[in-house]
Amino acid sequence: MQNLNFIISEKRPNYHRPLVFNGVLWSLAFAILLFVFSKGNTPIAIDYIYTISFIIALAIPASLNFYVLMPMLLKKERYIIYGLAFILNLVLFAYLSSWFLEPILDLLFTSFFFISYLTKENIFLVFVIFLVVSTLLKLAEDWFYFNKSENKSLRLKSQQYETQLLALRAQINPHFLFNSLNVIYALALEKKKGITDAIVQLSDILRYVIYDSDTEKVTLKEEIKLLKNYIAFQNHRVKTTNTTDLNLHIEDDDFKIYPMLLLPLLENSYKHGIDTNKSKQPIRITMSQEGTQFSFEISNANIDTSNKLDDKHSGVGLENIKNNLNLVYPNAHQFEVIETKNQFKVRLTIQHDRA
Amino acid sequence: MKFKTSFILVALAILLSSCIVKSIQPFYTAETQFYDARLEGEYTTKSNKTWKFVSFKTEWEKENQDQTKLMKEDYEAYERYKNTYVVEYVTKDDDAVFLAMPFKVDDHLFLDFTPFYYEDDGLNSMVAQHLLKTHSAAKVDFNEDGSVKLSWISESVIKRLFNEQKVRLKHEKVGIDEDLVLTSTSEELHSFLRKFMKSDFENKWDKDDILNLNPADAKP
Repeated sequence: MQNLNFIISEKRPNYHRPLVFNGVLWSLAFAILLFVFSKGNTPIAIDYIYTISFIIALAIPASLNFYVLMPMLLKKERYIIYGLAFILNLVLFAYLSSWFLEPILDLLFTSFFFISYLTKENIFLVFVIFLVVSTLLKLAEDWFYFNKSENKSLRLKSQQYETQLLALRAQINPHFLFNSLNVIYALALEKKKGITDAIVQLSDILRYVIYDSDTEKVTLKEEIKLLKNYIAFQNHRVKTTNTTDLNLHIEDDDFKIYPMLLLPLLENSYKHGIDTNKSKQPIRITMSQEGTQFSFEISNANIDTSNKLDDKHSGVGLENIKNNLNLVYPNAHQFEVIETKNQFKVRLTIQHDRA
Repeated sequence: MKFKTSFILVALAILLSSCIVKSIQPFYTAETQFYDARLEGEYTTKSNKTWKFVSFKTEWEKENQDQTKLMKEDYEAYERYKNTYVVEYVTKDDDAVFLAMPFKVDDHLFLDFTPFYYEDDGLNSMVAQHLLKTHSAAKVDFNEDGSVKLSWISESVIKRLFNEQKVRLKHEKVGIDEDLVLTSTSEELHSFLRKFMKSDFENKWDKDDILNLNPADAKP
């Protein structure tokens, strides 16, 4: 079978916007610190100078934390080492700032008097608060982008499954048409009268295959009509009568199932289980639905016949059904193929409430 | 007479506090106190006013020879002010007494003045209750001829710094005249003085707030 399993890339795209994060963080820090340093009054020139200088002093340990310690230690789950490195980073830069910030400012701005700002103890406290809060903000930002990336990845995965499903369906349609045209071809060769009826029936089947099978679910009523149409169509081809025994035990014919699951099974039975010359064993179909459970059993004679048009493509229909079922009824279906010397049987059970 | 006393007090107030910076808290800290005995003595100014610097410790010991009468609070006051000078400011009409704590700002000697006693006989009692004993700071320079120069930090200079947005120092503007009063801690005031002494800007000292004291026994 053609490999239709798409490789879903595990590499997550990087949605981080460092400029946005840093822009918001430092603007907020600037506004709060300016308010604190100006003691709630209208800020004056010296307040702006002190605030900007203080922000620069804070930016060094904060950037080290964001871009060195967190990626190298925290994200690699080395929590204890990260904790120690965080404290060391905090204490070192808080200590340096408490001792050297004002002397440096006095050196750079000789005509300014930076007096009623923060004491050494308060500089320490502000560093502790800022680094803890900014770390929490960074973690929140990381979580936000991780969540966004996760959702996008899930959407992508879902889209890929859908594409895979469409590809499988697309494979079923020409496969069915190929078989049907062979039937028409055979009828035409034999110049049978029922060829016009066969074309109409094929037309109905194709309408279903082309249009209805694109819908998400179809009713059992529609599915049964399709099967009956197909049986009638196939009867033109086979010489024996009563080729198919269809038993229906349906509680609700509006019960919905995924389209194009049953037809390939019937098609498969006709292809491999009917020998127009020898077979006496009809195709037996038992379809039942009760509550949320749907089951479909189809059996035919196991004849290695010349009906097999091309050995290379034999089994494509069953494989497609298996793939389809895994996608549309994951963990809610059973698909059994029981093959004996004389009989080939397929049993499909769908538990709808778990689907 | 009542008018005369009031006039003297107003004149004193104008002389010592109209242009100098006042602070709620002292300009010195416990660590910066530095007693310099060279300042002890009597001085006169050009306008024949007398300034007398006496050690608080000496005065206290002289007045409290019989220590049995002293209470715990007295000892606490002694400990707090033992390094100060008692400064008597005498004019021909009246006098006032200040406590002046000498302290160091790096290599510079400063005096922290605060009123200790003044004659208020002529002062309205209600007015007296509204007055607050604030602190002022003056730099001390000893001249070679034995004279001493006291340079107070001027209010006009500080106001100029505030107007130029070059200083962040806790302060308030009080009263109808919006008098400037510093409300910073002593530690911050000391930091301010350090920076003030290091800074080099024009008109740092207002000549109106500079007082030259000549030794009283000096020959003219």
